[in-house]
Amino acid sequence: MIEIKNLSKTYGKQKVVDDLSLTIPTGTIFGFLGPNGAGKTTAMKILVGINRPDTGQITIEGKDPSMASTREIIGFMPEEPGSYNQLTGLELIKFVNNLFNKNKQSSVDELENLLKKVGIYEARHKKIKNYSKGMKQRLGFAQALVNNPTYLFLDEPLEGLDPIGRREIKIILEELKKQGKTIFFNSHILADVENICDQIGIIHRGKLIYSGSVDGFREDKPLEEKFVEVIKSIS
Amino acid sequence: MALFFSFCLSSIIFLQYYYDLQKKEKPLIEPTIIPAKAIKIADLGLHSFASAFMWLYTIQKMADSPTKLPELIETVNELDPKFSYPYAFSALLLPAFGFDKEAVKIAKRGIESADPDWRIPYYLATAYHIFFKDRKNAAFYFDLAARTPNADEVAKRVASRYGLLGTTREQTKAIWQSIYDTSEDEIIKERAENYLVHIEILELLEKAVLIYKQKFGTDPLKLEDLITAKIIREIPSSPLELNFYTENGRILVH
Amino acid sequence: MNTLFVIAKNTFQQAIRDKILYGIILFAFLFIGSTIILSSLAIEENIFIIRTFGLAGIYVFGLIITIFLGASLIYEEVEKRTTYIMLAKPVTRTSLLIGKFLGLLSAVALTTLMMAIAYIAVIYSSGGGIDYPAIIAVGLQIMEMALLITILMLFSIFTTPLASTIYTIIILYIGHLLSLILEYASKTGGIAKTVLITIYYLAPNLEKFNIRNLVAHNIPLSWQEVTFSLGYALIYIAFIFYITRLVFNRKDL
Repeated sequence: MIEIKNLSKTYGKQKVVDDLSLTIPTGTIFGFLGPNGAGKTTAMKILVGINRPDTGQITIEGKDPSMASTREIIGFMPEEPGSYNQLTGLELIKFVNNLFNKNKQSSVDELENLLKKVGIYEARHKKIKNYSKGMKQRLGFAQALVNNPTYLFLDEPLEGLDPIGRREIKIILEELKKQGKTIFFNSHILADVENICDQIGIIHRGKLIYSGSVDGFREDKPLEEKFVEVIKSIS
Repeated sequence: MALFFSFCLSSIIFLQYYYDLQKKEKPLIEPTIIPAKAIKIADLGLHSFASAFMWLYTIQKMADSPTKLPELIETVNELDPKFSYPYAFSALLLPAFGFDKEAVKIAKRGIESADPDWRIPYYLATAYHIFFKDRKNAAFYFDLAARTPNADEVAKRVASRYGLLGTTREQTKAIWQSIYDTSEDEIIKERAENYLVHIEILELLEKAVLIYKQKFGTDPLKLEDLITAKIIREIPSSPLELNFYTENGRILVH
Repeated sequence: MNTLFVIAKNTFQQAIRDKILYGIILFAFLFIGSTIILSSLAIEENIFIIRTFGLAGIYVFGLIITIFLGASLIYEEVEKRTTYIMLAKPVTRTSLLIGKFLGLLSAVALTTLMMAIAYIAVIYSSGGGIDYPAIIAVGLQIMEMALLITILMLFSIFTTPLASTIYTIIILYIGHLLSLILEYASKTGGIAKTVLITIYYLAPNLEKFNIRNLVAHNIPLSWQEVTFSLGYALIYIAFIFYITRLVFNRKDL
């Protein structure tokens, strides 16, 4: 279970995340939605232990993610993941794998299977600088799965992918959910979200304005239409 | 396309050639000497390198800008006071360019500051003996050179005999011969060789004058008389660019 | 501990695969090789010329490589978001910094040693034997580069690679001119003197790692001084690293 209690973060004079509280049950896909600049990425970076909150508390399975040991069970894919251009795809995955103490894959075959799963196996020996945007996105997804994480945090995972790529990733997310993984992902492409999320949270100007089921929010309207309506009414 | 390429290439070559022709007709610009203090600030502690670089620069500029030599060499010395060879070089070459005082000043500074190098006092002593005709100082510095660690055996021998054995000329010959034998420097070797050849010519002309006196009972009035008397075929020219003449049976130069 | 070496290996791989680095090394080799030709212009003292030019070449090219590789060390990681990938793993910020430092230092040390081998080959082939003191000089140079890497890392946390380069070059020059600064301090008074003396004691004295002039003149090295310089480097590196860690830990990525 992921528990977020009264999370706040200020950059300069701007409160980017304002008293956010959420509980994400284990084994669910939680969509964290909001317009650009709402505070989604800031919140996610705090959840995975990259930054510290100003106030509030986060626990993942009862442990603080700012502790390195907690991050053994986390996978994180940043938005538009950059990478080490001089490495090949396989070298990057090996590197990331070796950062884990407990949950590492034990063989190169397993790592190659992972690359097969995300659809860049053929390019595994190519240098990342020669990858397309979509390939880098898939590689970013692969590195998040290297340690077979219990909790997966994805920041705009479908960005830059063509419709086929998006479908493939959504299938993987469904498979991971069936395996009992908890997936927390940011997105502003709502059409993709409504099909796979069990629950959603909507954030606007740092404040949580809704948390609950997709159907409970959209009230028979398309999600995107309802979302725009709600945001405009607040603005 | 090929025509355009050929035109550009040939224009570039021609312009460079024309520029070089123009450059030859213009007077040479004296080298700008950056103060050693300024170089030391900029050289990131690489003083020996800066000194060595300036030394190479000095050698290249020697022929074109001889008036700047003392300044250039002082810069080399200030950058790396331990770099010994420029001091020795100065002692022997600067007097030839008319920088007698500077040569002595630089060499004496070298004896104090540089890595122990027998060539500095030895070449200074040579300068005192040949250019300044100062036998006292020459003896002093020859002795110092002989006592310097790693002094060459040939040089030690010459130094130890200085003022004790042989005539002044014999000593001069021995000094130049030792310099010729011990140096790998082409410029210094050439200088030593020139002096040795000059002395040889002097001795040849003196022998010729003696033969003339034995034959005709009187000294020749001019050197051409030796040619007329078929004692020599021609008057050899001195590599030191000095002219020989005779007076009262002696061979002199001007 | 393990993650530290994994990051170091990754940083090293990234560094040595950069094609621009090969260009710099090639020029370094050409420069060192050309000292044989330059020495022939010198008229005697050719070993001295090869030594001074060779050691200067190793130093200057070593600096170029260090600044080129180090100026964007942390900055690029943050810009490309590769820090996110690492810090979301069981990797602490401290081990990230140490790993980056060790990786870059390894790359710089390797390239410096390559240049040193070329230099020793040139000296040997010119009749100068094996220049053992030069090996000590190169060792101290690597310590100096290590110090500069920590300074570059500190700057690259909060500024652009260009600004890091400029600041590091300024510190490089100050580090070699501290004796001059002390000289000026003795001639001034008041606040100026206090400021200059503070700079003298706090700025990294890079002349402590410069024994090239001694090596060029075959002056025997004092092992006490070499050990002292090593100790100074280690303490200074630890000091700058501690500041870097404090700044990096407080930085929101």
